[in-house]
Amino acid sequence: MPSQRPSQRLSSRPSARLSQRLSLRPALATAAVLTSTALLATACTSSATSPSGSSGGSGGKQTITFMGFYGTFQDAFTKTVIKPFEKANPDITVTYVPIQNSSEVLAKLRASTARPVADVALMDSSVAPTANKEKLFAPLDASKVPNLDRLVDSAKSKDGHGPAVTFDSLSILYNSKNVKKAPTSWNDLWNAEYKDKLAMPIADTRGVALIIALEKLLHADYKSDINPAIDKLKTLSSAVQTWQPSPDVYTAIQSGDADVAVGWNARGQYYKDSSGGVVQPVLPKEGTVTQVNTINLVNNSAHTAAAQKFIDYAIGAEAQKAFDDEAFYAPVNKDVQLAAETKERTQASAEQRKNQIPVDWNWLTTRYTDWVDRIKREVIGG
Amino acid sequence: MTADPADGPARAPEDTRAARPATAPPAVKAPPRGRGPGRLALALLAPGLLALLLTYALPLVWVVRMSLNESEEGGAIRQTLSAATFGHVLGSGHYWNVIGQTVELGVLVTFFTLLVSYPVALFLARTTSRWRSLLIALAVTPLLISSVARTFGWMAILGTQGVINKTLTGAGLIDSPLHLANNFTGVVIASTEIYMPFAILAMISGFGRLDPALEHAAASLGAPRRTVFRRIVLPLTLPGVLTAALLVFVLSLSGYVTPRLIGGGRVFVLATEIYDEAITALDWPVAAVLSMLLLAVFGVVITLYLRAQRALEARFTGPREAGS
Repeated sequence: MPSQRPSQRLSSRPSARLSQRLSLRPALATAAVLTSTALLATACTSSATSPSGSSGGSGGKQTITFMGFYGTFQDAFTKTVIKPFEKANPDITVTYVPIQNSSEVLAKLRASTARPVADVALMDSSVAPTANKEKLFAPLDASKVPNLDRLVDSAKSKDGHGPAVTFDSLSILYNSKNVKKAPTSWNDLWNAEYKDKLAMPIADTRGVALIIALEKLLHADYKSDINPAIDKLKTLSSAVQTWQPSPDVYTAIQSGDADVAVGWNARGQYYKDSSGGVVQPVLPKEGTVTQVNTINLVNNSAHTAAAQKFIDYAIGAEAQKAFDDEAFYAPVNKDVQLAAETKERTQASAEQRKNQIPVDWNWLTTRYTDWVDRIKREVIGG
Repeated sequence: MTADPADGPARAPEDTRAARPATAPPAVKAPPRGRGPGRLALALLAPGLLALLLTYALPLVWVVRMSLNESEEGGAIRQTLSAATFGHVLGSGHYWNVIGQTVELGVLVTFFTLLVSYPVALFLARTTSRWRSLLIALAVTPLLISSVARTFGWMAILGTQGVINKTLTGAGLIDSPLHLANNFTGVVIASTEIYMPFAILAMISGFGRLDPALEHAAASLGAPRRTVFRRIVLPLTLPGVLTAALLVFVLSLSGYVTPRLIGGGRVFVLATEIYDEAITALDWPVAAVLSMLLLAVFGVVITLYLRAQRALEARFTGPREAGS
């Protein structure tokens, strides 16, 4: 019976020394890996929780923190809204905190109710009612935001909370190099030419918007019954290559991984220019559905006056025109005259305005989860 | 699976120790208990424990608390103490499918990862080449590249426009591209490669018992190579295999990036579902319940691992180890 541990004898081999040093005990190594993973994960989530803006006295220079979307949105918004605002208001500095999506804003504000991490935040109109209900956002003081009067009706808030600041629309995107016959209608998604070439990221707001568009085509009412749209989408399942293109749908179309997709128009238009026309967004002839981002005053903000000044500027005609011409959104302000090209490439065009499919996002907030679940379970998983 | 304490082999260590009280005085087993060293140990542990408490224990408590809340329409959270969300999740066929698919993915990925990593690990553990350290380093270099980048690499290889499909269609072997990405198959293939370095490292460190002398002895007694592998090498390497299996299985159960990126939205596993519930559906209580269920699955897996490990030790090395 050997009395020595094999591992002890192994170490007499010169090459084994390294392996011993390298080898933590298996259990220890496992624990180390697991712990470091856990640490990493928590480190990521606990970042960006420092309280917002320095409270530099009432008269002096103030810094307000604005949470907006990342990437091209941030570039365009900084250039056309924040910089001019800071120029016009030298005593206010705006810090831009980029966020991935509206639920991230919700999470960050929920975690910092007493000393919020932002003063002004963008939020999708399907999420904003929840934040309003939880009192994460405060109602605006209409006397401090005079531009509220200049808004188009669909941009106004019914209960005095943050109004709409951008109008985007659902588009069909296609790769102009690979697609012979360009899509013009929602029905074209079922075109046999696109089989196995479709990218349909619809397990989120895009799917909700698509259901509303299809309900109109099928002469159904989305408020009473979405079965027609769900059944119609089920027949598309076998033609879909991916329900979740990576890294995003615009890149997938540009690279030719997918040929036809649904996506947001503003980003699609940006990619159209940056890809030299390879990515082509189409606003279908039957009309499209508006996606709304609202701009909100965070409750318990230490800079309510400056924050509302900023909100007022963002929904004002000057900022709206500059931002929309840069980033291809439709204006929320009545007084805006967009450049002719911007008009044609957004829902502000005459044809799209005629066919606009109305949406009650406030009502949809209560159905949103249910619809997305049905898309996931019946259309994607079915 | 004989981990019953009343079982013969499992009892063996205690028996031998009890039989030789003089040769193994308890003072040798337990370090001397002075106040100084104890305090020092505590002081040394404190930063780590504090960090774990802040970044791991507290968030976990928060998740447990959240799982007892209920969500209202539109993602608002009702603060309460109820098992209603648990009932909702456990009563839904969808979430059971998700759990089933998570475990199925874990089992398949673990199986394939072990299958391809074992020969590599065995070679690295046994080789006497002067390049051995370099080779071990090479085996783990993939860890230098983020799994996101490696998953994208696999998408370029497996996609319909990918290397494999281009080659096969170009050679006229297939008419329409194979569906290798944007589905379960793609996730299994990519995950297998991504977890290989972990498996190889875990196995090498678990192969400590492997001793060429034993193989030589078996061979000198006339055992053919196959028998040597079956009766000597395989049993001695099983503890390492078991550790690697645990590591890969746990990593795969909690894996988010690969199923998300290469799953094409068709692969529903717990990690992606938790993300969707928390971020898209805004249903934090359900996300918290799913996190608890994932923890429960981990608990089951670790229990199985410990039992298997005890059974292994008892069967192959337990009684002998105790004699040293």
